[in-house]
Amino acid sequence: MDIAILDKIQQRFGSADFSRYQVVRGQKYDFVRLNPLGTNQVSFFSNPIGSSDPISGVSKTPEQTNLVKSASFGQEFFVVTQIRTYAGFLAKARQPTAAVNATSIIYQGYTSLAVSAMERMNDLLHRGVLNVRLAQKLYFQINQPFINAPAGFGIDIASAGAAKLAAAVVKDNYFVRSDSRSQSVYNLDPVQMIEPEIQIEVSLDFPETVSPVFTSTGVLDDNTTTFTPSVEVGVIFDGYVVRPSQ
Amino acid sequence: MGFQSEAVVMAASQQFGVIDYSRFQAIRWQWYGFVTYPLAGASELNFFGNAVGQGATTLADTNLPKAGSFGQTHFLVKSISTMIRLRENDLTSFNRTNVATADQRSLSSDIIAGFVQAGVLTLSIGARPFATIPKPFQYAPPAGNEPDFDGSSVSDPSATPLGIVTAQVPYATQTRNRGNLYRVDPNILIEAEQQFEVKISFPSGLVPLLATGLSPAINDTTNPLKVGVLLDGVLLRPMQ
Repeated sequence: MDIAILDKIQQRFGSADFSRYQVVRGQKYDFVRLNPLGTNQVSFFSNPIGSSDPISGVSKTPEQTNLVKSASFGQEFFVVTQIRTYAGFLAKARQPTAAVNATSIIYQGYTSLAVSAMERMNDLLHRGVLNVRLAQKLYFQINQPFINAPAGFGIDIASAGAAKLAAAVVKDNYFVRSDSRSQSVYNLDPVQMIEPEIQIEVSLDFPETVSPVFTSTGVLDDNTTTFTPSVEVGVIFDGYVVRPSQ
Repeated sequence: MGFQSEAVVMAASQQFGVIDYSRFQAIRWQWYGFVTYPLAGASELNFFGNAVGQGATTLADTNLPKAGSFGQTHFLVKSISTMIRLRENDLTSFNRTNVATADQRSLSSDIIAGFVQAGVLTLSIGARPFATIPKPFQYAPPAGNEPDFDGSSVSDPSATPLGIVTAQVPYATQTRNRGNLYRVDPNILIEAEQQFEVKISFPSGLVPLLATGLSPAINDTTNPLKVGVLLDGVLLRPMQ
């Protein structure tokens, strides 16, 4: 069929108007579980909605990613204006059962051991190299991405609170998080356009040694039981979706 | 008299109508919708699904004149915000005597390790998605600012057994950095009577409230925890 005829049919009967494009702000994001045993590399944008997270085995939903196709943003243009990275503990309700059932871990569980999960989180936020490849060509390489390309969103903790059960030593409580100010994110200038179906490879590498180990670092409120907290890391491209009008 | 064309209708409207559709007035405006965040969590919260006056919906919950649309006005969306409010927040429940259940004694638990750490917001207009925002209570924070909070450390040397100490009442909020406002750039125009939908979903599993030990207790009726979405922008309405 002649492409001109196809164009005419599409213009008359198609569900999208490819002669006019709409620009809207949008994000392409992917959050994955960090291997608690440590790893040399975490890959992003590999597993779309509906597929399983390779570490947790849990099916990915729009809470973790809006990728509909592995390693590609599909049939739309995307203009990247910011790169953001994220690392944090999952909500308590999504932690292992021992943590879900505990009644006093938020203000002591992550921090009360000398070698605590929050210390490991602090290590994580200071490490890694983010590599972004488009069509197998390296476009961005960011050392210490949680510092140089922080999340730019978060919460404010005016007072961390502290609680400790029946122990001689009382420790301060603390929370470590990526910078939550939006002006701190990694802005792209010039911006980077990613065309439809371009292959995207994003990885967080730990070349010197594996990522911080999170196994059994948190102690629960009986001061004896330990658990391995679930940690997620994420990469967010903020920018513009360019798509045909309807 | 039978009107047979748009031109005739327009002419009649200009001569005899109460509204002048050829001139529009622009004012800054905020549309907001709050719903109760249930104690057990929810798989989906739908904002702007009720108009003011519908059921038990008051002006504290929404100022929407019509469910799912802005009625006879256009609206240019310039930013999206999320908000959290608790009618009566018990800050003193977190203390030395109930340290064993500390997680349940402060709303900060839900900010630090609860639903604020989860969820995804979607804005759809005419069933077409226009925004998908992960962790929306963080990514799209309030347009305003929480009150200032300053606390001092507390320790009780007479506590028995020695060492049971609570230091500092925890206090956490959505970010107070107004620079983090989620700006809709380019702006989105939602035309009059256009159907739209804003919802926050938790498809990876319910996230129940953690602060279940406050006094008065959070419940779904007399002391509900409300979460809201606010659309800030420019309202365009015909002159009268």
